[in-house]
Amino acid sequence: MSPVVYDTGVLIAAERSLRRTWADHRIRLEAGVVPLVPAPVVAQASRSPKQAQMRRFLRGCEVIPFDETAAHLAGSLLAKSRTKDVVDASVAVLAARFQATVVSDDADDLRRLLLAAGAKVSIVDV
Amino acid sequence: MLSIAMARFVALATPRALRQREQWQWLTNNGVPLISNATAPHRQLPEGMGSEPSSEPRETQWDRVSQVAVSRRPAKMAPFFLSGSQKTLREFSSLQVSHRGSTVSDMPRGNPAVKLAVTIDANVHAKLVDAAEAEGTSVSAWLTAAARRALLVRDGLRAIREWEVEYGAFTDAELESARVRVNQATIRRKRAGR
Repeated sequence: MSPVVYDTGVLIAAERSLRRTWADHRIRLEAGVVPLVPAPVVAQASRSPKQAQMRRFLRGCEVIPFDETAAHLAGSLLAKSRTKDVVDASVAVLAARFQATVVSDDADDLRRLLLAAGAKVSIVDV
Repeated sequence: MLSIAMARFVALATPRALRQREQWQWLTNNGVPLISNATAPHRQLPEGMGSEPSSEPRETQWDRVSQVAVSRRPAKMAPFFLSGSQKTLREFSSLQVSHRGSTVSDMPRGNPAVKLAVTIDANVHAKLVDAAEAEGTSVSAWLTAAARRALLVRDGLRAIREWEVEYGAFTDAELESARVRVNQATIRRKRAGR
């Protein structure tokens, strides 16, 4: 099974306890796939320590720091794709790096970014 | 006057020098010569405090010092000790003050990696070395990454079980649907990669 990157929509769905999201997550973990989550995605979804389900969900994810190298790559992708969303760019950078499937509820912008990155990865709806 | 006012302003500023005592932060009346200011006697800390390594938590140590110091307080002790002494001591307890000795005995030492001797089957070891080399990393780093992933899977599945206790266990049909969705995503990715 290929690596997976979660976008913000997944964390929001997890917080809402969407059964489908949790079931998919379980299948991935049972297959030994630890989903990757860029740190900016956590920042975009996290609003309060009361979001217990999201934090519980993240226990089975690897949160990847957004370091200087990734920041420059994200900026470059934004310039190429003429988009502005840094969080989406962080997802695209990570997906391109690991050739990972992206799980997102915002496929359009991500597709432009992934095209700009030259990454041939699929985007799956949440 | 201006220079005196500025000096007072500096003295009343936020405690950038953590060694300053509360007594130096007190307001003085304008126009009164500084020499007439009542200055509290310096508090003498117990000898040897902090100069020896202690396994006690710092707050506990300071609490004990505080009690001793207050109980030994002379009758003529200045207001520094009479008012807010406990508070002051507690504030100090969170600081690393210089009079505790020139050697800082409890300076954090970071989080060094643990050296571990492990036994690995010979054939696994050979594959492990190959895998680490192929990924351009050390055997230690490779093993650490593998252990981290395994721990995440373990904790993640435990988190899902906790969630299922609250929201109901997944049915076989739900899990089968999830399996199909996840596998379809993998197939789509393979096609996209061609």
